[in-house]
Amino acid sequence: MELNDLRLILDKYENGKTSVQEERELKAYFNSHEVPQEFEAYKQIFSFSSESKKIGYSKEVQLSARPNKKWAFAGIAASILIIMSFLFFNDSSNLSLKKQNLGTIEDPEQAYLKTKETLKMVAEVFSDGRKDLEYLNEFNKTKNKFINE
Amino acid sequence: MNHHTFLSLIDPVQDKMYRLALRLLISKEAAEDATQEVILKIWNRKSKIKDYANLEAFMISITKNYCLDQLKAKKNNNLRITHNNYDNKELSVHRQTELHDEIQQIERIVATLPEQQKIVFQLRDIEEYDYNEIAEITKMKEPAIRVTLSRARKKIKEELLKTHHYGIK
Repeated sequence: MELNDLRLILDKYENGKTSVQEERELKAYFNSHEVPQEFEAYKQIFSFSSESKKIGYSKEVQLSARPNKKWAFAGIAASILIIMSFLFFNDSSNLSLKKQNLGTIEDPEQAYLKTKETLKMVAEVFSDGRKDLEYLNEFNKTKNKFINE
Repeated sequence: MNHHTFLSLIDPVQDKMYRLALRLLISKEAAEDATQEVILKIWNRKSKIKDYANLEAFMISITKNYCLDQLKAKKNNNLRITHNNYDNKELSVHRQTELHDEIQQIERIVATLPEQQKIVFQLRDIEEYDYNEIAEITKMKEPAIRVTLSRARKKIKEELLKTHHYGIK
């Protein structure tokens, strides 16, 4: 590019009359050529423009992050409640079982005696029943009379 | 519209939104927050997205308005943004050395421009939008945009000349 052309186009640039295309050419020119010192300030401006465009937004974009978090917390709270309630009810049912006196005897000797007593009682009931069936023997006696003789 | 289609719409624009927010708010954290907020705003209004002919201009325009609101709120609270207050003397020591310093320097100059000039300069010289798009984003008329842009460009050049004492005729 001729220096005179350069001066003209820079003048246009300063007055806001260059097109985007012309400005791109200016940037490309100044970034790839050594220029006389009188244009040094422009070189800085154009390299600034190109450099500035390299800055990017580095953070991850978060959409509707906040409502999501709210529901996540609600979920956690709900699950904790459920777990707590399970623990609580299990505990209480255990407790109520323990509270009921089932008459368990701790002392082995006493337990033995008690068992013996109970079994004896059962045996007595059985033998009582057998007494009532004594008369059935009469059938056998009569039957034997006929079959044996 | 689901997440994926929305993200694919946002993806090409989010860097531009962030850069504009950074230009106006200066602090990186504030710009990141602003970008995130604006994206959420657009997401919440996603049912209306189809009504906008130029979605990108709409997104940038929302970003611009949001950042200007942020700045207003800060001013009302007397909380001026004090980021990037670089020491002049230190800069002049390494002045001619690196591109990085030169960029910081222009950054500082641009930070002193009025907000409209910042916005127009950012949209034109960095994002390379054409005048129609800038008009849509800023709701300014084209001649006014050209004037604003011209002032910004001249101001930046003058400030650079001042600090460097280049021998320009």
